[in-house]
Amino acid sequence: MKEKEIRERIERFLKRTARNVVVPASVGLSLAGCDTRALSGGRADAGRDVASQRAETNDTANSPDLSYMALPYLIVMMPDAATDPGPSEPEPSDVESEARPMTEAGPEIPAVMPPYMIAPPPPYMVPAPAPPLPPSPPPPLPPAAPPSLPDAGPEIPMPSPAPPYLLLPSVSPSAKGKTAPMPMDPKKNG
Amino acid sequence: MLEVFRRVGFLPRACGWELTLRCNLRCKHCGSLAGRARDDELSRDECLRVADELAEMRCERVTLTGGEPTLHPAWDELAERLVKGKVQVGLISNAWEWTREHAERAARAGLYSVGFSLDGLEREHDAFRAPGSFAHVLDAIRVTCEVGLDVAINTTIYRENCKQLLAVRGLLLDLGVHSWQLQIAIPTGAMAGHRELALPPEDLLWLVPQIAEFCRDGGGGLRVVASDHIGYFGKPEAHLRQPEVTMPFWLGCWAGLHALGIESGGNVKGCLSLPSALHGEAGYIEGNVRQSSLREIWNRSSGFVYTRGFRTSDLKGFCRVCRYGDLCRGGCTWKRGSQGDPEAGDTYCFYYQAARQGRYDLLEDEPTVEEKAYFRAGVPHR
Repeated sequence: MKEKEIRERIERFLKRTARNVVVPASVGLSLAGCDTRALSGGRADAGRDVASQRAETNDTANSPDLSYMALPYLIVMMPDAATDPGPSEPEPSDVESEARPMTEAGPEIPAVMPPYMIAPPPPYMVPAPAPPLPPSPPPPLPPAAPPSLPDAGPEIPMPSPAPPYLLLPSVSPSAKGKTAPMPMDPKKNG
Repeated sequence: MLEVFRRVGFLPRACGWELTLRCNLRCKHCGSLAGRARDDELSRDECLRVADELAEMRCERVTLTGGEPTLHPAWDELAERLVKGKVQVGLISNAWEWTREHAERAARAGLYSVGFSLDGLEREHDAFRAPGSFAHVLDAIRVTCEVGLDVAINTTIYRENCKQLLAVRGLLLDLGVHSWQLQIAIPTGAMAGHRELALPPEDLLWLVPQIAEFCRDGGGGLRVVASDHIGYFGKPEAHLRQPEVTMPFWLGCWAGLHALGIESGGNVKGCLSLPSALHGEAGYIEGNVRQSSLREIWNRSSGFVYTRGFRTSDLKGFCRVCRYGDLCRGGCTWKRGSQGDPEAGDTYCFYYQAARQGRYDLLEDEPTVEEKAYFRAGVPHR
């Protein structure tokens, strides 16, 4: 995969994640992933840690109050002003209107997810549905007029043509086994 | 690419837990310098508390390791506790004393996989570990498969076994092994005393494509995984990771972002491979579970600064001019710090070696003018 495509994929991921997760800085403390109650009123416990917020996310997922929560991952680190470099790109100003439940905007978790994924996986771990890929890149298109609003619809995760080297392997997915792709041994040299 | 992790959040998804440093082998390449137990290893009750904390933090997977983790008297009790907390638990053993009883205890505890270390064919494996060790591993694989557990094999690649990978793969297929993790011996820990056994970094140009090919095609039923210190970029990259995911390329070290390590004395690091006091380096220790809760250690805003606070200006050597520097963040933190010269950057990098040796045919993008100039200027590093 060429550097350009790598960066495009990351860019698409960041844009999509920003729309779904990031909250305007005006909410305070660069906290991301609050529910809409926090957006509107602020919550006394808005800076809680990862685990408790994730627990609440899951616990809330089955309640009728889903529209207020349901963001898959809540960025939890309370940024230390002295050490936190902050987001690398500006946050979109219309995030609040774009924020919505993961079930609406996020990719569905397919049945082939590795079994260790007890919690919803982060979006970059979700296998991309592979659309039919042309054998070579299409000719460059003329620059399109910028949309008046960010695209709020679901994105196609892998729209770019992949180079031949990246065509999926001939071995069937089922033959590849069923465990996680993460390192089995967290300790190298041994 | 740190920003990807920042957007997702810093989550302790994968944990390597050294239950004890005690070990019944003295392998030449042991990165942990295992042998004797640490003086202050956590008690059973302390371990159970840590297990509960991991579950509360929604850690997705814990790998129990050591030393030899089965020398910890409560290894299966801890595993069971984690499994009850909905954590997926694996275990890595050297198989030296592994019996059917161990396999049955592992199955009862609910382990999803048991890993054994197999470093080549018999002569090479035994030379690296202990005479007779190879036969123990084969026996362990058989009895573990018989109780219905998935068996994973870890192979550390060094000079003497690097040409045996195809034969080892055939052996693993015959034995019904489920998955195979490949990793390259880096001269650190005990291996620092056997530098002559380490592969020269130039060999990455043939080894990495071969590993990628194994990952692409395990030969029918064997899932092959490249350790995350193998790479980066160039044509093999996509197969070293998962070709089917949205971003099948290296996104930089996970330590302190999605991974953590716990030493048997309670010290917490971003990754168990990172050096600690035994290596004369305490800078990676973020805290100790005896003094603070795991949650507090993980959530400290000043913690894990080498990854969470990464800046491209931190990069050294070629990594500083590399086109992928901001994505890769200098590769595996442990590997980069183990190469002897802190100013060199990561020379055990596929892209570095291909660019340095002019093998642009192995890369997706020809090196930039700046990258070529780096080598023309007379790089002092290999």
